[in-house]
Amino acid sequence: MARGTRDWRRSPVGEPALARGVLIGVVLLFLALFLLLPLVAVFAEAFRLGPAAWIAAVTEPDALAALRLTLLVAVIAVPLNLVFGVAAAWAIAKFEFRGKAVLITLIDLPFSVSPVISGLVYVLLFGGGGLLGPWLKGHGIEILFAVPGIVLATLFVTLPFVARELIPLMQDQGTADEEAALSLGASGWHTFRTVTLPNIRWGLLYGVLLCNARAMGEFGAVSVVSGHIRGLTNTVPLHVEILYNEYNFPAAFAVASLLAVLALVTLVLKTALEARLGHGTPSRAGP
Amino acid sequence: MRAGVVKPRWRIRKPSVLPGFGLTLGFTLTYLTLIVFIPLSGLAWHSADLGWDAFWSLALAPRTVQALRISFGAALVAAVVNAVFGAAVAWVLVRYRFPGRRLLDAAVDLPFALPTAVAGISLAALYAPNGWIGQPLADLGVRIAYTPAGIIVALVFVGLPFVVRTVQPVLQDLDREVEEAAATLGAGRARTVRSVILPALAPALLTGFTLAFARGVGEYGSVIFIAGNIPFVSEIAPLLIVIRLEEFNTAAATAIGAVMLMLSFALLLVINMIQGWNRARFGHG
Amino acid sequence: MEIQVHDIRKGFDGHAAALNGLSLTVASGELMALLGPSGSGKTTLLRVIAGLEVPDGGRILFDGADASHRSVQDRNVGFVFQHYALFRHMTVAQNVGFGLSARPRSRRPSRREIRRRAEELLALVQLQGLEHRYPAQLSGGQRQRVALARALAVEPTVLLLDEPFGALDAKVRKDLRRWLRDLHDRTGHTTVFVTHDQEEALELSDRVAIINAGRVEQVGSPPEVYLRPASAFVFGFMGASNGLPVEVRGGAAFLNGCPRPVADGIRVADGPHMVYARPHDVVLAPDDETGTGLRGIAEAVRVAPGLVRVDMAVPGLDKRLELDIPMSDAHWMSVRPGQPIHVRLTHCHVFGP
Repeated sequence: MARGTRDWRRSPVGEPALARGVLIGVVLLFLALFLLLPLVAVFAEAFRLGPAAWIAAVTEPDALAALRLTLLVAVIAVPLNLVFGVAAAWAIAKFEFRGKAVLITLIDLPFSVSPVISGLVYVLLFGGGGLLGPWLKGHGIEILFAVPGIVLATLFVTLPFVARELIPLMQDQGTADEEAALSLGASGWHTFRTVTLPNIRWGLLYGVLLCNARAMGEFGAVSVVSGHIRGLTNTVPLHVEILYNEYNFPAAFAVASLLAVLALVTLVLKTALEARLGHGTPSRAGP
Repeated sequence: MRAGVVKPRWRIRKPSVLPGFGLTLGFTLTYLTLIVFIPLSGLAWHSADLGWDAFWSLALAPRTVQALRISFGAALVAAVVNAVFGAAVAWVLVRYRFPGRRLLDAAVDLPFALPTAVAGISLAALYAPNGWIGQPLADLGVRIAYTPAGIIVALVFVGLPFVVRTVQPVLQDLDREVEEAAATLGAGRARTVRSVILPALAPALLTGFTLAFARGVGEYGSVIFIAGNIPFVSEIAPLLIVIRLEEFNTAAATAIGAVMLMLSFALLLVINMIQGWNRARFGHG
Repeated sequence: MEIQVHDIRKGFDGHAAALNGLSLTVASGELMALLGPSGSGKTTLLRVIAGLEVPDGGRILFDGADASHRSVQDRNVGFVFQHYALFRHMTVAQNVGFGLSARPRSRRPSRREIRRRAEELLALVQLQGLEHRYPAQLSGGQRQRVALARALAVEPTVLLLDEPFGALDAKVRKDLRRWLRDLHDRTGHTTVFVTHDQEEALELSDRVAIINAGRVEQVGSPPEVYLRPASAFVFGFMGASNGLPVEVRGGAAFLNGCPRPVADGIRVADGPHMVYARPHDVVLAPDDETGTGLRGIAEAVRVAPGLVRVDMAVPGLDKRLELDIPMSDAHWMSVRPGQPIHVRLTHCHVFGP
C-alpha cells in the first residue's frame, strides 16, 4: 500500500496534539535563541551606526587588505584540497587495497584536532625552536607569521572536506561506468573527464562549497600562525578579532557581517545542492 | 595429483582494469604526509624531546589542569544539552509538518557555516550584561558572559548540528511499524518512546554526543570572546596554548596540545568501539 | 470474539478512497482471509480493525460492543506486521515478553512469570533455545514466528496478520502456512489475515473475503468463492480464465453471429453478456454440429506437467482461447498447430458485459 502517503498526523499511534505542540514550541524557541538570534545580532550590530559607517568599516584599508588575504588563501587552499580530494577518492573508491580503512580515518584526522593545535604543529615545525626553523631562517624563507603559514594551516583544517564528500559518493557509483568506457577504447584521462567527472560534479561542488566556507572563516589555526600583522597577515576573521578587542564593536560587526553573508550564501547553495544530490535531508555532518 | 585450488597471491590491492591507482594513491599519501603527518609528528617529537618528567610537570601544572578541566567539563555539559535538544530538534524536523520546517532544517547547519569568530563576538554581545539576552538575565541576577556558563552557551551553538545531523537520518529510517507494534501490544506512547524509540536512536545519539563533545573540547574562536578568559575560572585549554605560545613558552604549549590530542583520540577510539559493538549485535550502527 | 465491520469509509490524501463503505462480519473462532489485489484496501481494513488507522466513518464492533473509539492499546488485538516489526535491540525473549512488561504495574505479571510465558510461547512456535538471540541473528521464517509469539503473548481476542508469508521464500511459505492452520486450530483465536495470493487464501482459511476497490466483492468458503464466484472480478482473481463476449437469446449464448451457441441453459435476461470459463473447463469434443460448441484453429501446443496447454484462435475473437487438456485425455496427441479443432465448455459463468 502507499504507506509513504499516509498522514501520520492523524495516526492514532503518534503523540497527542498537545505534546506535539509543546515540543514544536520548545524546539522553535531553542533554535530561535541559539541560532537565529546570534545571526540577527550580527547584522543589527553591524548597522547600528547606519549604512555609511558600515561602508566605511568594510572599505577601510586594513579591512580590504584582510579581504584580499582571505580570498588569496581560499584561492590557493581550495583548489589544492580539491585535487587532493579527487585523487584520494579515486584511489579509495575505485580500488580495493589493504589499509584503506586506516587511510580514510587519517583523512578525517584534521576534523578531530583542535584548530589551535592545527596551528601549533606548524609553529613547532617552522618556528624558531622548531625542526625546520633554523634552516629556514638561514635561507631567509618566511613561513610562520607570513602568508605561507596561513595557507598551510588552512590546508590542514580544510583537507577532509572534498575527500569525505566524494569517497562515499564514488563508492556508491562503483566502477562499471569507467570499465565500460575503457572497454570502448577511451583513455584513462578521457574516461575520468567524460564519465567520472559528470557523475560526481554535484558532490564535488558540495565539498568545494564547504571547504571554501571553512577556508575563509577559519580562525583558531590561522590565528596561531599569523602573527596578527595588520595589513599583512590578517585574514578577515582575524581582523574582526582585532577590531573587537579594540572595542571598535560597530566596525568589528560590520566586517563580521561580510562573513555572515558568506555563511548564508553557503547555506542556500548547500540546500540547493542537497536537492540535486538527493540527500533525503541535509545529513552530512560538517567539520 | 593435487587439486587445482588457486590460492590468491598476497597483494596490496586487487587487480583492476582502471588506471591511475599508483598516481592517485601516491599523491594522496604524499600530500597527507606533508600537510598532516610531518606537522603532527613534530608535536610528538617535541613532546618526547621534553623528557618524561618535564612533560608531565608542564602537563600537570595547576593552571593547565584547570584549563583542561574547564574545556572538558564545559564541552561535556554542552554535549548533554545538545543531546537532549538536538534529539528534540531532529524529532520535530522528521516527524512533524509545519510552516517553515524546511527553512529550519537548513538553518540547523548555520553553526557549520558561520565562522567561529563571528559566532563568538555575536554571542558575547548577546549575553553581555547590556546585551539582548544578558540584560534581562542580569536583572534576574544571572550572569552568562565572562563566566563558565558563557563557554557552555558557545559550545551548545557550535555542537548542535552534530547531534541533529547524526540522529536525523536514523530517525527517518526508523520503521513506523515498530512503534505500531508496540501500540498493538498495549504500550502507551511514553512507554513506546522510552523502550522502543530511544534504544533505537541511542547509537546515533551517542555518536552525535561524542562528535559535539570532541568539537567542544577543541573549540576556540566562538568561546574566547564570551568566556572572559579568567585563569582558573573561564580559561579554556586551547586559549592557554595560545597564551603560552605568545609567551614563547613552546614547551608548555606542546605539552598541553599533546595531552588534549591524547584525550581526544581516546574518546574517538571509545566511540568507534561502541559503534562496532552495536553493529555486531543489532545489525546496524 | 466476533468482529463486525460496519460501513467503514477511509480515504487518503490525493488518492482514490481506500475503503468505500465496507461491511463484513468475522465469526468467532474463524480463520478468515482478506484477499485482493494490491491497492484494494485490504491492509487498510486490517489496520482499521486494529485501531492503527482512524476511519472517516463507520463502526467496528467486537462481540457486538462498539470498539470504534477504543485506542489501539485497549483493543487487545494481536497484530503481525508484514515485515514483522521486531524490536531490534531486544532479544527474542524480550520481544515476546514486551506486551506483558508494558502493562500497568497493577496488571503486570512478575518478571519470572513473563519469562515463563515467553518460553511457553516460544515452545508453541517451535523456537525453544533462541530466547537470547537478537532478531538480526534469525532467519526470515524464525522472525515471522517470533512476531507471532509476541502477538499471542498479550492473550489477544483477535489475531490480525498482514501478508504473513509475503516476505518469505516459497518453500518456507508452504510449511508455515500449514503450521499456522494447525496453530489456529489449537488456539482457536478469531484470525484475519491479508493476502494477495488466492492459493494461500483458499488453502488456509475457513472463509475468504474478496476485496476490490475498497468493497467486499464476495464472502464465502473456499469452495463457494471458487465454484460460485459472485462477479467477473472474483472469477478472474481466483485463477486463469477465458472471457467471451456473447449475445444471450432465450437462455443460449451466441458468439458473434455463430449459428450454434457456445453455452446454453443460461438463466439471464437476453442481451450482451460475458461468458467465462477456466482453461480446464474448455475441452476437446467431436464436431457433431449439434448442442453447444466452438470452432477454431489450434495455434500453439505446449506440454506442462500433467497437462497440455493449447492456444486456440477463434474467428471474430481478438483474444486466444486457452485450453488445459489433461495428459490422460489421449485426444491431445492429435492436436497440431494450424489444425482446426472443436471445443465445448463443460462449465462456465455468465456475468454482465
